[in-house]
Amino acid sequence: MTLLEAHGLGITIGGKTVCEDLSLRIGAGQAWGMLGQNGIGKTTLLLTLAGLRPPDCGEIRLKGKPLAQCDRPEVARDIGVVLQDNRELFPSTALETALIGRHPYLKRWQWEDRADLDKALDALRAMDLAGMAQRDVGTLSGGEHQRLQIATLLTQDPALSLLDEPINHLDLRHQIRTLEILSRRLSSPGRALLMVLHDINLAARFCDHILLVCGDGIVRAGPRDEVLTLENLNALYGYPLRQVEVEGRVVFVPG
Amino acid sequence: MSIPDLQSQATPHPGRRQALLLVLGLIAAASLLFALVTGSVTLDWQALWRGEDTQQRLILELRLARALNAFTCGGLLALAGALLQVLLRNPLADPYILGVSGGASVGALLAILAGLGGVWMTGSAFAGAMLSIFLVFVLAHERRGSWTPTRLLLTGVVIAAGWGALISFILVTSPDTHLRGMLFWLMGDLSQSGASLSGVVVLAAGLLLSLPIARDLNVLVRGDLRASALGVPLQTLRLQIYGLSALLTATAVTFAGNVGFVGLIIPHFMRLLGAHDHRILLPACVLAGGSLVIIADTLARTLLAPQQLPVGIVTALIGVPVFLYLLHRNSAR
Repeated sequence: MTLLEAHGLGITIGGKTVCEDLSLRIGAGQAWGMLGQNGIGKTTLLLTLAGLRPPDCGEIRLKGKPLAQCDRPEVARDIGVVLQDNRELFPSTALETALIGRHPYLKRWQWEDRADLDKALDALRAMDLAGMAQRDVGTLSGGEHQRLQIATLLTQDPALSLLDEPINHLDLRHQIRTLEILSRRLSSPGRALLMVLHDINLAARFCDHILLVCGDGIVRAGPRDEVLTLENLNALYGYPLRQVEVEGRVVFVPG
Repeated sequence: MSIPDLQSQATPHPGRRQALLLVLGLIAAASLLFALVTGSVTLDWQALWRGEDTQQRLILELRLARALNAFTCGGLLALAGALLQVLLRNPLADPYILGVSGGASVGALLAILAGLGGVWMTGSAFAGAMLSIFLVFVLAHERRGSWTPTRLLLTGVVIAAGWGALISFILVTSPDTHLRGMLFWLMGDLSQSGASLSGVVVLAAGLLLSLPIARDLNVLVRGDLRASALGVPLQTLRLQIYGLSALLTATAVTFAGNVGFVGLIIPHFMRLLGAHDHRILLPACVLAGGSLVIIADTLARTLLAPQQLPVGIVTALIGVPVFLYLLHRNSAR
């Protein structure tokens, strides 16, 4: 089943072309990793795929229906987005922030019920934040706050998760743990994920499809083993990499 | 119930979330009672009950009308403040930040200068407020028809500065006989206002219209993109908040002048007590803002009796130490 598809997508921002005539098909069960240099337009592409920014040309379809024609609350039940830099300016407990993920599901006058609360508490527990449910978000560290963003997404529980650098600020153990939790969600039917990463090896380990945003409108997208080649990566980062094999797994290191 | 109790209950458990509103409701009732029994004349309740003494009944009615006006004014300002802080995503926003009160003030001062009073002054102040709301609304629009909080804030602040200059100009060029009335109006004054049902209606309507969007505000306060991603219609919601807060402020300023401090501090005060959720925060602001202005106004008319103080001075004198104490206590945790 195809969750999200793009046809002939063209995006320019600030005079720079992010992609031209990009076609993409994100199917259920797939994990996509997006790689590229700073400022190349990864976030712009992610926001466009989320329907938060109109493309310059082309069309995006969510479950076969043009995204531009979808009802936004309806989209929010299917697509969950984790953005970068989301410090909160007003006091809120971690639990209250996580519960925001239930917003698209509630009717106008409906309050969160026990099931919503349990979902939020489970998400906080999964992200190692159980003891901080009542803490004010302003007192959380950068990594804790990032985990709270993921917990909010888990509470939202969308079919397609779009994450902009989800493991930013996280320590090694929480990086792996977070990616494992996100991958595990894919075993439920009708789920997919696309995330911007800066670690090639983590992308190779947790994603089965890769999207390389190369600049000048060039985007390479496809199955991991076809796209994640030494030649492509050298061109992507403009820096020589080396490919080594560790215990049967291919690893890329800066040359 | 102590303040820490309320704070630990900032969880969405049913029943607990209403505790704060219940306590604030009781405080509002108590402050109303305080306003009724306080004054130079001591009321004889038995005589009132028997309905014999018309003078006593008149005093009671006067005090009741004034207390209700005070409550309405405080409720309007605190509610407008809470809404504007979300709209501008700025904790320093208050109801006057976008120049609504400046426009109203110029209108009111011109009416005083022309020797007009009563309905004419009210109408003139309201017209000034509406003009300011319209100016900011039109000028803050970008070419693509969208708004950003920063642009709205800058436009509002600049318009407010313009009104400020006009106010100063009117003050320095006005004859001395008008100055005292003008200064009282500018500092916030409930002694001139008669019983005003329209304020109560606007307050009730404002609260009823803002409660359906209260959960959207919970999302919007966490950022525009995030709100859009969670399905909140950004531009529509912003217009609703702007229209509501502007109307609430215009009404408050029109019949009570510039009562400072309430609209800025009451929303923060309620958040410090754990009301982070706007479904609780908005009604809590109405109750707490109303109570604060009732108490402040009662003190304003009795502290230096027979002289009356502008109520705005007293709201600040009460609010500043209470708020600083809460802030200090919270950061010490």
